[in-house]
Amino acid sequence: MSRETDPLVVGRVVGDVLDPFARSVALSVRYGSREVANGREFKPSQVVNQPRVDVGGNDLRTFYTLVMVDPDAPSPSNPTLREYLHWLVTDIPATTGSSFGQETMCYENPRPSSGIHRLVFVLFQQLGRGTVFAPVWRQNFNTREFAELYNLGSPVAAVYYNCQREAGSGGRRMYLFQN
Amino acid sequence: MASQGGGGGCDGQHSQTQGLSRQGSLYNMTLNEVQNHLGEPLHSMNLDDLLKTVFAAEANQLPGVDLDIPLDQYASSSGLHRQGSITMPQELSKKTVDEVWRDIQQGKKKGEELQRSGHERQTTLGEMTLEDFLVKAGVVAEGIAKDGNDMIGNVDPVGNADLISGTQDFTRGTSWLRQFQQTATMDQQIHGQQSLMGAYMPSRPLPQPLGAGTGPMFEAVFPEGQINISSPTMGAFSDPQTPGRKRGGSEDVAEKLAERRQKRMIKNRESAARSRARKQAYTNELENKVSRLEEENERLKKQKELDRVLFAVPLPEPRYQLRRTSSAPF
Repeated sequence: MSRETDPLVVGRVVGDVLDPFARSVALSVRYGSREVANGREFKPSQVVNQPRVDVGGNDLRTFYTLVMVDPDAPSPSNPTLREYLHWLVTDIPATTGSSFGQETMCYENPRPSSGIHRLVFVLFQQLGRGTVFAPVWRQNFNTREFAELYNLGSPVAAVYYNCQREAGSGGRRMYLFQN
Repeated sequence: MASQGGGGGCDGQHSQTQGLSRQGSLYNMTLNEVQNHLGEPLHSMNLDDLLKTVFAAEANQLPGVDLDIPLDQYASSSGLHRQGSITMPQELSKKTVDEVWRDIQQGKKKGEELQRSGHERQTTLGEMTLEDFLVKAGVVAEGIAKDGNDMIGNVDPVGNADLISGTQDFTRGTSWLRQFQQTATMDQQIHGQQSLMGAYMPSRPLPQPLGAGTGPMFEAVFPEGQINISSPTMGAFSDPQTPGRKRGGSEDVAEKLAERRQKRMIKNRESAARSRARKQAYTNELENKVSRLEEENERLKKQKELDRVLFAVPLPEPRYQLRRTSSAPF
């Protein structure tokens, strides 16, 4: 049995949020000077403000959509709000960044209360400019359905980080009994 | 996390039921036949040894149908499904076949609830089928259930708890499964079962949402396993709703406690699996990054070397040099 080494698969991002896909466009997400690498941990205090996102590609006439979701809301053992939409930026021209796109759903900083959450960034290529619209609610967002609805196809890039309460103890519960 | 629950939770159960379903033909053999097949006396063997030899025989018999392709990532190890096919309480494995048989006979005298067909009333050990023997010994959960809401019987469903978490679409799955299980039980041939399972395999390899895929998937692939689970757990769930049962109230409470314990165990297992996945994912990411950087480093070094050779500029000679061309005496 060949062991799977793609962190997106091992971390179950491919599975819980996305279907398997092939990366084709560069995506760089940075909170301050810290670069988001798969599985890296960030504290809520480090992700208060929206990150700087740079997108690859080569033709300025190609537009991308950036989705940021939390599939472990409100808690990874009980993700009834999966997925929670934190940020939605559309019409990002290739080779530029998130600041050049439309902030269709403004950045809401993650404040996980229980457990260790994954925060996933997904980049899609749009068919054309102005073809993607925000949903009504943030909770119970479904990235797969969203992509199908707006003809976004397969993701072209994705990256995720982990986040827990500021004074987190690694996801351990403080109380004993839980139904 | 339901998908993960189903996956993580099902690894114990999946291996167990996979073992059962594969060994369908063996289980229907009587112990006498097993003994002949193995060429060894069974009576004084430990249950541990018995199962090991049974597995060894089974391994030679059946070609390995690799049923755990999609659930690979959930199974803790590929080897596990062979050895862990049957989970046994510690004490049982130490007992010999003889002792267990004595217990079974004593249990029968106490007038325990009896299962379905008459062939279970075996008077001699040798005539009992392997399946029934193991069931009576409390090693495995109940076998093929012909009717829906069966009683749990005298056996604690071992590893049963694992599936509870994965059964989010369990209730709508079970009615479909009951129909399926009836066809499965009627078709006792292992090949029939294997082809049924085989028919479901092709739907798997496609990039399906694994969350949705795992639920119906392992229901499809492990009809017997689900049968094992559905009857006991349906029995457990329907208990509180049917008043006036034979058992007293204290037993219900004990059951609820057991349920809660099982649920907690499942959740704990899921959490542990998530934790392992998290750690492994980060390690993989770092390893990938390191190898990428190493490659780039090599590339850049070579490039630098190349540049050095190609674009080497010879030192220019000084244009004016003071030279003594002649020395005059004056």
